[in-house]
Amino acid sequence: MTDPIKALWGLLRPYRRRYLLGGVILLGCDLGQLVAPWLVGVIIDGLRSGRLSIHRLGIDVLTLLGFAVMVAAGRYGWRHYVFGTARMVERDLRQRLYSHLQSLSASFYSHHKIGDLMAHATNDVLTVRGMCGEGVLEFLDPLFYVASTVGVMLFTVGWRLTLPSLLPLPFLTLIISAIGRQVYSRYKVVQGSFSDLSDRTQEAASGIRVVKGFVQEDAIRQQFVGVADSYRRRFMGMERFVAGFDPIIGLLAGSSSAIALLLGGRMVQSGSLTLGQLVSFFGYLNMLVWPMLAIGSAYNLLQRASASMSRLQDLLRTPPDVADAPGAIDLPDPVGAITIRNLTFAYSPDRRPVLSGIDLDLAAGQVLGVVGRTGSGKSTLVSLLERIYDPPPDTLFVDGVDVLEIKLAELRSAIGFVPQDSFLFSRSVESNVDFAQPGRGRDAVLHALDLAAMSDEAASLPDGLQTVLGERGVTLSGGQRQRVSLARALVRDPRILVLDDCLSAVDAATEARILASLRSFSGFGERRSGGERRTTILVAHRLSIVRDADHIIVLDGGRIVERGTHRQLLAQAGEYARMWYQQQAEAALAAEA
Amino acid sequence: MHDLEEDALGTFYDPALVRRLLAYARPQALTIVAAVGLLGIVTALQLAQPYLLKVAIDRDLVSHHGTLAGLAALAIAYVAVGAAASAILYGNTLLIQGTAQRIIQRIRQQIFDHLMSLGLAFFDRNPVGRLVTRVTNDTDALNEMYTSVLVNLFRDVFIISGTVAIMLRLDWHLALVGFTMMPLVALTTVTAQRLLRSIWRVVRVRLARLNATLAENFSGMRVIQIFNRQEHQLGEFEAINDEYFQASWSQLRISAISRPLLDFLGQVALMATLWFGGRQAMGHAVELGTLYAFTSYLRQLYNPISELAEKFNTMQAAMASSERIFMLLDTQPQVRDPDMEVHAAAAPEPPVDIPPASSPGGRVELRDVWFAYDTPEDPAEPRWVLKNVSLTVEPGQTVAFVGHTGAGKSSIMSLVARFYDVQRGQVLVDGKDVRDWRQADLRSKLGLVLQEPFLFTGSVAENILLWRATEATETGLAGQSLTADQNAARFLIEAGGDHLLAGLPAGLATEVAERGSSLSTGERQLVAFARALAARPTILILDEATASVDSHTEEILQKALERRSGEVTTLIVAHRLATVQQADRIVVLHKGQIREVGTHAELLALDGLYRKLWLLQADTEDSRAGKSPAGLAQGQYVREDGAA
Repeated sequence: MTDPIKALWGLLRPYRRRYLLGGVILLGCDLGQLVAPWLVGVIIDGLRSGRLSIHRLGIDVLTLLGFAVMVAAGRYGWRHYVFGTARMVERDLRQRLYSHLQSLSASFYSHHKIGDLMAHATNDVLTVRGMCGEGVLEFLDPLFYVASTVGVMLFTVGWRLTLPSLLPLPFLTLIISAIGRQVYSRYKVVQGSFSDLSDRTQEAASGIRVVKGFVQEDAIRQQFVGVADSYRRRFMGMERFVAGFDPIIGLLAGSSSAIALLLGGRMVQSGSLTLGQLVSFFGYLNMLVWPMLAIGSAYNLLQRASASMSRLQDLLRTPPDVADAPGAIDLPDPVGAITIRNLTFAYSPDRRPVLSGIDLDLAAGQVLGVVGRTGSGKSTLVSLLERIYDPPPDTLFVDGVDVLEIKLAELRSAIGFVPQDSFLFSRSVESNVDFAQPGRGRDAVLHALDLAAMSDEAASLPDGLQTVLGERGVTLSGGQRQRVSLARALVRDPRILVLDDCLSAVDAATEARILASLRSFSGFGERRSGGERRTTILVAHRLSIVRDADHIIVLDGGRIVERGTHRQLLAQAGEYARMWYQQQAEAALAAEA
Repeated sequence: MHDLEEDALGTFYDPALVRRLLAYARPQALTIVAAVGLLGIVTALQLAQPYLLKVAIDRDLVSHHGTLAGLAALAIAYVAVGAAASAILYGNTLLIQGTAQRIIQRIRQQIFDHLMSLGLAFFDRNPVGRLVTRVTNDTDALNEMYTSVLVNLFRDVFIISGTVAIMLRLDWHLALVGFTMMPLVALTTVTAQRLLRSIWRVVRVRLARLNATLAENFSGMRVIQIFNRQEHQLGEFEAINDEYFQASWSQLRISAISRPLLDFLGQVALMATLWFGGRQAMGHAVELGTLYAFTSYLRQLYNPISELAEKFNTMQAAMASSERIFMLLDTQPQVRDPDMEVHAAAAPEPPVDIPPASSPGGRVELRDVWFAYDTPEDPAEPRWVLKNVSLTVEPGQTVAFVGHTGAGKSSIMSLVARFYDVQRGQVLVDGKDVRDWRQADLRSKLGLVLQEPFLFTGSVAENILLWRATEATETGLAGQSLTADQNAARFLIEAGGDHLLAGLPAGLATEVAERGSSLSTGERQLVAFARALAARPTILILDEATASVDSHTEEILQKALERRSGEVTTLIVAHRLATVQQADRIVVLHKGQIREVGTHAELLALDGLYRKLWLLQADTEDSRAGKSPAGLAQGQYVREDGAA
């Protein structure tokens, strides 16, 4: 057994009793269905010989009715046990997939588009479900059907009629499943072409200023003509095979009937077969068409499901790259000292380093300001502290311990992190703030919102703290989102607070209020002893946020190019000073009425 | 109000929509009629097969005069009829699909062309994803309608009516017995469809919720991990996953009941036929062959009835899609070319006042311009972005625009490119109102560099020359003709990108990947600048072009601009005052109005807003003049001016 098939079997195993039951019911159904053609034959013979009484006819019809009821019930039963169980497998698989994906780090997510992950969680899982439902049916049913039907045929009319009549049917299986494979491979081409259509439109629409500004409408249209035309051609390339299904089935099944008519008819004429037997035989032949198609379809389905399964396995086997090291230690009472030693970091070995030679000492309770242009490495620096990505060993220490040797959960709960994108979940304000550890209580949430200068606005939302945010709820402004995200970090009462440029959309007055409450929260700018203060890292574009920091570093191209306090940096008259005066100028301009 | 609504719900049938959809099929009307005719033939052939068996039974098997030759002839006829039906069916399916695909391609092209003709205001209002859906999925839903509904509807109707006719003709008493289950089959189908539709809605809602949760958790995975919330989220996901499972289980249950039930009803019809037919056959009122044929025809009769109901769903989806498509197609472009409305038929000659060839061109004038992004239909007073702005830029001048975010700097750039039309006043380029220019003629004078460097999928060369490569057989200094690549290289170097050029892994043929992971933002901006130079503009527009690039790209762009100053009219929107210091004129905008205009020296002397800004920045700028910022050795990136 190949690997993905073994994995498929692993999914089915827990449910093997249900499948067994489903299989037994299916077998019963298939046998029950043989009764109808047989009885039709019997009735015809009875009529032909004139020996059929009305009484007898009645019994036959009632027997037929009885079996029909039984078959209908059985058909419900196997659907329940086979198709239904497939849905359970689907549920399990999706759950396992999600659970595993949750253990993977940011570097996994930066290499996998969310759209692709969604495709795995939906399409691939559905394909596997198809295999576990329709696929299982299409394997079992032909087996039972062919065995029972052909058995009955051989028994009632003998091989002389049976074998020649069945001759076309294997070809039916071969041709149809070959067509099925062709259709599938072409379908993928068509899908690719469909994404081309979508990409072209997307590109033209999002670059519309450039398209129009450079008078490229005609060129873009011509490109689209090409793409649309190639889509049609490829679609028709697939359709040439799809259109073959029905005609081939009709032709081969028809040939089978014609052979039966000729040979069986001759036997009837010579008296070696009754008319009723021939009619039953026609009935059986008809019943064989579907299993012949099913075998091929099951084979194709299995191939697709193994492809899907191996894609899913690739995901399921990706080891979590940011994980607890063996023997990782707790951080029972963190004080929050941060040390960085000659830190150079690249997202992958073949890419340029994002940070080079960073050295830094931050005593417990100190406040660090990190500034620099977009792409200078600010966010990367703080995400390493949080171990969103793993730094190289022996470069980053919290309380003197290499972060790689601290348990992830311990490290992260010591840090209150406010990410740049201020991602909020579509749930209530309260549960967004109280995200880390629900149940801290309303007062804690209100206090955190208060610190983030968000409590009044939160209270004035339609349902107050219970207001649901996001797509299905209220859309907050960028500044409000940033403040809720800040409250989410503050509510944990962390030893280390990290703000990754998270006040960019907050206006100047609110920013001042937040800075004031951060001062009292972290104790920076005040003469408190280190133990009463919280280590705070402020990443910012706006320098007004960092001016009170104990220590400010300016990053450019991944290196620290300037460092010092606000005063020292202004005196250096470098990049920091330039940015400071420019921002002052802008503020002055904005204030000008 | 022109927003394209996403959730417009369709009905089964909207005559106005259907008429419009059929209009697209009109050019192929003959083909469609032929295809429907062929379908009739296929159906007739398929219905003939059971009849042949009936003849075989009654003539050659029941009666004692049957001959082997007769039987063989019927068997051959049976295969021949089947083969003919198959061949015609195959050809016909391709004919229908081909026709439908052509219709769809035409609609798709029309939507795309229409999109390209719409103004920027439309794109501001409609998210890109929505527009993509119109071109792709909505047209696909129409394809479903043209092929599956239009065609199979005919087929099903043919089969049902043909079967009914044959059965009635063979034996109408027996036929009526066979039809008894039809109302029940129809009822079951309709009921099951209704139940399925309502449960399908639940399934879809829960699936959407499941997918939304997945997508949300995937994109918020960082937050989940930072806050150690994995276990809790897993539990929540399990609940949502299970809800979906429950719904899909109920859905399964309905179809697990309805399908066997439909089969069962067919069986009952068969039994009734056997019962009545058998009794009549005992009195020889019915031939055995007829009885047999009935059992075959009954099978063919009951299938299409249940399939008909499913067509309604397809039809509904197609109606909804076509409504959205037509809403888009009915959106009128607000920015139009002059001859589109006025001289539609009467202007075969080119626009009249083309400036004389000797004049370099590049004069830009704004006269009492009032502008707002709101649509003119908006009842309230528009939110003016520009108020009474007047300004003249002479050919070859460099004019810089400074001011706070939202002051209206970028809007002026958009108006010169006529991305929007002004509400009051006039924008003139080379003495002519931009509304009197053909948009293509106007914009081919411009070289545009935007804040976010947008690059197309393709090579660096393609992005510089765009799709003008063929006409660009330009000649170099010594008179020799340049290849497209040499040409592109020249512009990239002119833009200051010689270092970038040397570092490109595959030279100019290097592919610019989507969202450009291979090139940095700064490098992309250099390519965008080279593209603007390659347009050979008489007016160069830099709209915050240096705002999101790194410091040495900014220096490179600055140098490149200085080299070209005086050659073309240049409009710059910039952040840093040092960047604009050398401009011939500086325009200080504030809240949509011009506050100050003049050279750097004049504005300093004016002691106004600019001076205030300048003094605040001056300290640092002066001290920076001598040394490179950020301690980076930028000299290597900057070419000596004389080196060209």
